[in-house]
Amino acid sequence: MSREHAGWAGFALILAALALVPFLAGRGALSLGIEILVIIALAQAWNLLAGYGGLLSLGHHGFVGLGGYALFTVTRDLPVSPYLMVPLAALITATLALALAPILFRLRDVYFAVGMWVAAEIIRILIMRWEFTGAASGMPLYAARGLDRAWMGPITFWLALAVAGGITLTVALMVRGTFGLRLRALRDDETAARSIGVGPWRVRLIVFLVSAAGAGAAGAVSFLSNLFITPMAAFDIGWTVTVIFVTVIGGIGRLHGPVLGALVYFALREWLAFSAGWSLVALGVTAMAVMLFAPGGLAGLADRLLRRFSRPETAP
Amino acid sequence: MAWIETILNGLMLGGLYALFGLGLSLIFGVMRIANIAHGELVIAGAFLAFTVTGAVPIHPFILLPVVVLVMFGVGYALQAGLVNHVLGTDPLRPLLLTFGLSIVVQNLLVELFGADNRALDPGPLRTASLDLGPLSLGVLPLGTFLVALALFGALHWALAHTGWGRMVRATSDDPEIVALMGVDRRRVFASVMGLSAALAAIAGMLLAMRTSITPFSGTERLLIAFEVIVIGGLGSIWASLLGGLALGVVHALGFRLDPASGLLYGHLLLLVILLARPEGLAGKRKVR
Repeated sequence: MSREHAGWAGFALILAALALVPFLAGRGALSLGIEILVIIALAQAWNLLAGYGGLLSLGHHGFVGLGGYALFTVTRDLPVSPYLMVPLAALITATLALALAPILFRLRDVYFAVGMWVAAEIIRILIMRWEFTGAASGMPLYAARGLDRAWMGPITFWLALAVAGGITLTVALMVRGTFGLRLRALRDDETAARSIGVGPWRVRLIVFLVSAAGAGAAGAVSFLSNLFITPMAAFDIGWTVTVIFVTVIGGIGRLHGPVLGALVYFALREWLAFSAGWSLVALGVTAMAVMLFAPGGLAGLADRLLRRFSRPETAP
Repeated sequence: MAWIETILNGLMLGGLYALFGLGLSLIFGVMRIANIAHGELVIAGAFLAFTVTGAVPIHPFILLPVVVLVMFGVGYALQAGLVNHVLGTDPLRPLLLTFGLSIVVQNLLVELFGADNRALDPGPLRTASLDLGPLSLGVLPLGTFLVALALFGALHWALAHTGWGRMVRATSDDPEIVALMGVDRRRVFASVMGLSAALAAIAGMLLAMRTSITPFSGTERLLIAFEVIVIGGLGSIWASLLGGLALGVVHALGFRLDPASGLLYGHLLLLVILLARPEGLAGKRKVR
């Protein structure tokens, strides 16, 4: 079996094993599981744009909030199942992202990062002022009345698993093959990439929309499990801060990075549960150390170790 | 008359905004990196002043030079000890390093000082106002504005007429060539970061005299500082002043017309500028 096949088999096995969690775990463990999967999904979406696309976003909390609000408003007014609404919320978020693209795509580097942040702020302020979305006080999940309470936790967990697994699979497929080559060529040297005929805007737009859709789906699942949404929680910049930490510590621009980083993040958070402040200090110091000494993060360190052990086989 | 007063208040607020942006644009102009911890440097300056005024009853103005010196040292050490080690071809590394730093500083301040609102008491200055016929201007905002103008002028002079300024400008133009001429660009960068931190600290103390702040106030000031340099444009320090004034006037008018709008109209101004004039109000058009 080749390494690639082993990778796919491992991925399928892990998903299958995780799908059994709702039969074994209690309510508290299940909601922690949902939270971890949401952060993995969001970090994969952010990493696709920043790590592979070279477009660092400081405004992904805008997409999280949009996904959540799409689910809450549509299921309030239309007879759509909240579960079915998760993929639709991703679609709605991507459509709104498409509307933002003409402005944001004039920007590069730091300007893009700040442009995303400002866009998220504008969306937050507009939602806070809009009666239709419950203004500043937010709204409950009205559609929850029609759902079977006993199955809500398990189904939400499976949805979170599907979103995290789906976005991981999408990123894995996108960064292989010619599309992935174009993407990396653009990130590493745009002038050189253009000169060999890579059209930058189409490639970046696809990555941007997929990333927005992933973040929107993550937001929809997260607030579906909360049963309540407010602008403060939905558009909290803490979402973006968390996924940046998760991705940087795990390994930016690497497929395993967000998963490893999420595990470290939640381990640190539970371990330092007595103080949110100190656990953020610890995360910040870890992220700084990664940038100083190991820019590839944990995934980069793991790759280096693996290469050391398997050197006889791979040596030219 | 009330409208003129609003615009004047906006201009004075804009002077403070310009000061937030000045340090950030200096760093960006010289090193081409974004310092995400800039907002926390602003707030750290104010918290340094809180610590001293809490222990000894001393007027914040007397404290200003001390805070400036300490924060210059902090900025210098930050660049020499951390940021210089991640400079290179990848612009994400310094950005993410300072991002980590900003969260560390913010939460250290919370753990050490608590998350309460705090302000610096400038004494009778706080309520004093200047009556100019039908117009009434606060002395503190006016003083803040004049301090900001003076700092812009001083920095302009230093960049244009001193040996240090020549070195900074040359390093900004081409760090490789400057290194060939025997200049240690790492030391130039460290002095620029020190200056940026000192300017941020002055802005932070002036901010804390106007309004109360918490350890979390840095995030909003970073966003304002970014908006100042995007609206003004890069290329000269005066662009930041123009950006700050424009943003200040828009915020003042926004609050007057629509008090619940927060920073909305400032954000919209940024979008309009990005659409109509991406190089900023006073920026130089890039030749591609």
